Amino acid sequence: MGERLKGKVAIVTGAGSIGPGLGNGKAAAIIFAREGAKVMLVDINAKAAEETKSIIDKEGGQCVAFKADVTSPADCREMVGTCIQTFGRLDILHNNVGILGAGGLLDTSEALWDRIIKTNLTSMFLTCRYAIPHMLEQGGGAIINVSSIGGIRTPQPGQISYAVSKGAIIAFTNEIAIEFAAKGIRANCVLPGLIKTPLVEWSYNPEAWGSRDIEEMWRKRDAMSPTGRQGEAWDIANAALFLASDESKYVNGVSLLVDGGLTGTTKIFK
Amino acid sequence: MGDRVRGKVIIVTGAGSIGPGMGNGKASAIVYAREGAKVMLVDINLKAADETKGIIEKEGGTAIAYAADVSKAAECQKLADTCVQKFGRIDVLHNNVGIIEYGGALDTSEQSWDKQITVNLKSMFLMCKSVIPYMLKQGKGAIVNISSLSAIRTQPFPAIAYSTSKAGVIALTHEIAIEFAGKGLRCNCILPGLMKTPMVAHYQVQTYAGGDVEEMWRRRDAMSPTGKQGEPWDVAYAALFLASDEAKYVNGVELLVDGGLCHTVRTFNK
Repeated sequence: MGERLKGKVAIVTGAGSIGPGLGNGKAAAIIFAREGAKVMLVDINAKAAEETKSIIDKEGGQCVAFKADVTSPADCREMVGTCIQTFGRLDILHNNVGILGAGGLLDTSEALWDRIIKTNLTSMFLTCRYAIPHMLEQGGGAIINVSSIGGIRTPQPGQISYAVSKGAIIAFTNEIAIEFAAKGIRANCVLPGLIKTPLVEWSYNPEAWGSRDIEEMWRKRDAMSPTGRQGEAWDIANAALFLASDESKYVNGVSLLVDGGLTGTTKIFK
Repeated sequence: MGDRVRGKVIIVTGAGSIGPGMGNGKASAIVYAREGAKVMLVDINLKAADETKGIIEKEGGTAIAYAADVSKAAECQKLADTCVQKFGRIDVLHNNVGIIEYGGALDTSEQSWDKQITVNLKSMFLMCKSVIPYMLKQGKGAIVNISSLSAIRTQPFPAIAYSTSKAGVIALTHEIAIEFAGKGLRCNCILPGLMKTPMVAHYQVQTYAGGDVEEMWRRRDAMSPTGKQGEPWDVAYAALFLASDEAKYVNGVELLVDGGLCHTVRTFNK
């Protein structure tokens, strides 16, 4: 076990995976625990959070699983309150909850728009509102928000609500970063590119990829990356670890890309 | 001692400090060595490189000091060859050399412009030319270039040649990142904001505070949203992240280490 987050308490939202395998939130929670943090694993699906817990427990880490819907203010308040009761403090808030939603301007219903904005963006507003007062009392804290390259580019057009929610996370992060900079709180976001996760697998749309074979999608996504490979959940987790640790104490308000260089291109890698 | 770049061979240019204290290059070299790398400390001033070597050796690390002017192609080639002769490989190239001469469009001499573009930008082109062929043979490598917040924002005082050279570093970084992405190389840059380093004390004290160093530090602290300038360790840890395999899917990024300064547009007290 490492010591890069020793003595710190972290909340990870979306700490379970939607399907078999390793998602970004799960990997981040595992890495945080390996580096000595006590982790509160929050998920709307208690079973998914429990699965992450069993992995961390097996490795000798410390964590609790907690079921919450982070679009509910009451749940967010209870989540933070329980964290403070259980672990006595809150140093790191890792906002990882996010859902995908396909649809361009004309075929995105108002209901879908609202659901995506609420789940991806408003949830972070809510968790921060309840977490930051505790961080202020302690004199510091680190917030990591998971945005997406979809917030700054359109790698897969036709995801307007998703892209807008992810773009807004960047502005939200910058606001928090500056508002609380002098009070020891840092806020940064990670912008994953094409990452091979259960969420992507779960959202697989054969029509969009022109094949019923999911391997075809993975192959195409690998080919889209300048590196020839998609990223993996650990890549996001390690970026989050850097931003969560005191090693990044002067890193504030950044949008850290983890995309293998994809957004540096204008070519369509296919 | 850590293990995060264990076994890697790293070239750091500008690995000595221009005056007493800790500079970005020196701190980076020390952190790399602490994490298990063998470091080639390159500086135009051998004594400065030797001082860094003394610190690393006292901590039990491995380093060699080497004098070179990285604005000269032949010296870059010789230093890359020497690194491979001594250590057998080059895993990381950390391009840290940079100088600053203040001046706007009208009062910057052509000579000063040429000097800064050569030392700050062309040196990185030359170093990459000499080092990348070795990395390609290995099938892997990471390059960390030091740009500056000045590349994307103006400072309180005009520094047209410096800022332009540092913006060039970003474009150079993207080009290399994408050109070699499919061959296992990564290239990223760091944009330090206001840092408390010997180079700042050396080059900037007249401009900032008429020669009063403490007054300059006070003013620069006040300019930062966090209330404090950054320190060389902040840049060093960002470099460590980018150099290590933890950042294996991070390519072509501009990592700000500025405490959030880039998001402000306030006119700070001069």
